[in-house]
Amino acid sequence: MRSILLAKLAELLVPILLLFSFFLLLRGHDLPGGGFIGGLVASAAIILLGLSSGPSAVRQAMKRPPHLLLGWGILIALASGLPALAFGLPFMTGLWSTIPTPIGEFKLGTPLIFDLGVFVVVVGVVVTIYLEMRSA
Amino acid sequence: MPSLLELIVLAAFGLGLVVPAWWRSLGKRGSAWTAVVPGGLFVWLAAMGPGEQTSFRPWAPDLGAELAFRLDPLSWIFCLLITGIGALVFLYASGYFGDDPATGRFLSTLACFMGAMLGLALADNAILLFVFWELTSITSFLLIGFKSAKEKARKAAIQALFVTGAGGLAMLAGLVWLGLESGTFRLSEMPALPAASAGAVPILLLVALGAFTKSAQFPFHFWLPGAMEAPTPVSSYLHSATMVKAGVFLLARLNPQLGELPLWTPLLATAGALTLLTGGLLSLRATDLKQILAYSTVAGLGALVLALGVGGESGAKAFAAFLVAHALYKGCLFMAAGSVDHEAGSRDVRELGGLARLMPWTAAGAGLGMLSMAGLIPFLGFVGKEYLIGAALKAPWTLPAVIVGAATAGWAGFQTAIRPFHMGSTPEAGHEAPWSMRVGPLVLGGLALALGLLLPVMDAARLNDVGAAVWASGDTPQIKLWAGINAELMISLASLALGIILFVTWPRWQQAVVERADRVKFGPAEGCRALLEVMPKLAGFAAAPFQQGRLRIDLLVVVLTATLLPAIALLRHGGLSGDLELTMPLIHEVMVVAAAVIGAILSSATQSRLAAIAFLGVSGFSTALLFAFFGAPDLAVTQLLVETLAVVFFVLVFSKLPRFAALGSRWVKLRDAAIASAFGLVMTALVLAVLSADPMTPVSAQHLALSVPEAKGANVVNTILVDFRALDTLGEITVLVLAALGVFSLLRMDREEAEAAA
Repeated sequence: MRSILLAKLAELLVPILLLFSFFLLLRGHDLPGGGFIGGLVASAAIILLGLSSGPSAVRQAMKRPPHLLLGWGILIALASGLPALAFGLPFMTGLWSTIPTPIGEFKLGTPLIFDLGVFVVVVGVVVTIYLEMRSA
Repeated sequence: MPSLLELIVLAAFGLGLVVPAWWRSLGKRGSAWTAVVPGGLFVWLAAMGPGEQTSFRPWAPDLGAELAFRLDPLSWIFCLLITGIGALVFLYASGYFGDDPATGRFLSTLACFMGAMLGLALADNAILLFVFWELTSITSFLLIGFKSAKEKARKAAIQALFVTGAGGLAMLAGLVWLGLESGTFRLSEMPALPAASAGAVPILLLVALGAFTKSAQFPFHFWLPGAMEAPTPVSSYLHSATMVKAGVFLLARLNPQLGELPLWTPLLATAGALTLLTGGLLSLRATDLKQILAYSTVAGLGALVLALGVGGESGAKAFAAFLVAHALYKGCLFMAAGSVDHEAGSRDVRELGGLARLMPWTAAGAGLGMLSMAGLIPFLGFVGKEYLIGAALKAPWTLPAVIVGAATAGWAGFQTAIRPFHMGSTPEAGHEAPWSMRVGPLVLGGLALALGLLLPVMDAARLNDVGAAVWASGDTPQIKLWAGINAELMISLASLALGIILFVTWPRWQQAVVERADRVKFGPAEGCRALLEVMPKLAGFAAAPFQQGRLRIDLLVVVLTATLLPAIALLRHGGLSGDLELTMPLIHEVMVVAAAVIGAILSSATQSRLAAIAFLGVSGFSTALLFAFFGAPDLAVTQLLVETLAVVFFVLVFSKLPRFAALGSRWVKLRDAAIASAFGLVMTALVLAVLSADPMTPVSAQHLALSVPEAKGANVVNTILVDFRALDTLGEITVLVLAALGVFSLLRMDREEAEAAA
């Protein structure tokens, strides 16, 4: 049972929601947001696509099986702890630097990479469970 | 920048990371080239020499863990064995696997093992050493069970992991205790443990338990022959030359700290001698080439532990010479046995014969290895055997074990290198192994000869330095090829003669021995198997009262526990005592709370499932609003999103759920209502108690104060998650992943079963 209204709406909303989820991820360190919330928004966007166009559309859009994201997320989060070692600091010490851009200073740090790992894990968990339940 | 020592470890792990892609793009040709990495490391290490080098990097300073590496003669010779034999094994595996699509995964795991083993050899911190130790156990588990479709391989893998993992835990306890006792976790700075200290005996026992399980000492020897289920490159690398020597390495490494304890010599010499005897005698019943070699490896490991136990100059010499000799000839013979299996299709000595004509190169390599294993001059094996007997003469009661071990080693060598190649009739089918599989046995066998031959001129393997590192007396022993005609030589020759007699008479007694051995149905291996079977039953028995497989009962248990324990704690601490400053709630707050309460009540009273879900949603969204009112926007947003996703998931399973029926009787409903109310009351009381507790400095104030200067973030919820308590978050996302994998495999299993039934 596909609704043309929902499909058109999803076509419009999914990219915006995904963009918004990255926005939430990036601003999370200073304002409400972060990897967990961002990941939930991104998963909601992907599930919206699934509701409107079916799970095969999700599989196609993801290109790779979503459960691979589970491993990648953990790896990214772990890897974020490594740069500190290169500077002779204990594992997972946060490192920050500011990058000046025309629209203002932009903070970049290893905790952001950690948060990206959280983001990826959350998306992997929700989408994996969604797809498996859909096909069960 | 990483230091040289760190680079060595990183290079191996890096190889593991890139090898799958490497293999996919280059195929069979690519897999042979992977040998370049360990080969390069070997050349580099050999050129660098065993001079002391250290590198240090903090890891988790509060826990005593640091990334400290140190190169000394002992770790140097281990690294050379790991990288040198590693290069040959990588080459060998490329021929062994050919175009098998699993090759990439195999080589990747093998490279990770190599990295873990190098890290283990170079680690100078007890915690770091343990981490690498466990990594070798895990990679070994993956490699033994590599043919995961075979039940036997899976069982052997679990058995090996069970035994070495249990020992590893004991070892961790021992290492931590040792670190606390000596005030440092840096191995090179640990002083010798005084025999009078309270921890001396338990530390030694715990560490020895770890070493004995890893190095397959009696009575833990049984996992090693089981591990022969692994592909042969693994057997020759992990289960003869390197990993199984990790336990021996640990004992040698801790010799300066523990070697002076009075228990050291009796414990190690006894375990070593028993293992030597067990391995040697059990090898006689084996007819599978790899099983023969596996049991004789058990014996070899026993010999090394015995040498360490005897200690002193003779022990150090025996350890250094036999360590290298054994790794060379055993790696050589394992590879040759694998080639025979690969090309002739059998490993049973009763079926094989006359292969020398078909496989001349392999036969030659195996022949060299055999001569070293039997201890013929001028092979390195002769030197190792000579000094081993010398060490045994210092503890004469171990001499019979050493003689049996030497004789059966000779027998095993003849059995694996003469019988399949030079006896019996040549089969019609079969051919020589590819060149990549010929190199290994030939090089290792050649080295066993060359190192022995060169010994009078130069100590190419720096055996004397290795001996000095183990001896720890400050002096350097002198290892010679020819020590003159003495008692050692006589005993060596006698054991050789015994080995030859065993070999010649084998056809006459083998059937009787094999039949009798097959009838034995008890032993450590059977004990371990029984334990592995009993444990799940025990766990099921213990869990039965709490988990009955019915969600309602499980929930009841969880809620009751969460009610009773805090209630008891509250009562014992005098209930609510402190002062509470309560402010009047505002009108919108009252309304939202009312909505949450009404939603909860209605959801439990309604007769329709859909309505129940909707009312629960009301409760959830009201809670989210409350979070927002009281300055927790992150929590509010998360709660909202989770509520939304919960609705979606509910819709997915809605059509599959059974009828929404009243299952419980009136009494059950009353009981559940009572428990639920009690839970709510206790939680409320708990929150009030926490708020009225003694004014300690709450950790939240510290987080708020440090958030911007230390974690460079203004959102304190986020800085706690990704900075202050990032390790906790890492644990949480790991739990999430495990849960998702659980759902994944449960649903898949269900579906596949349904498909199989259809």
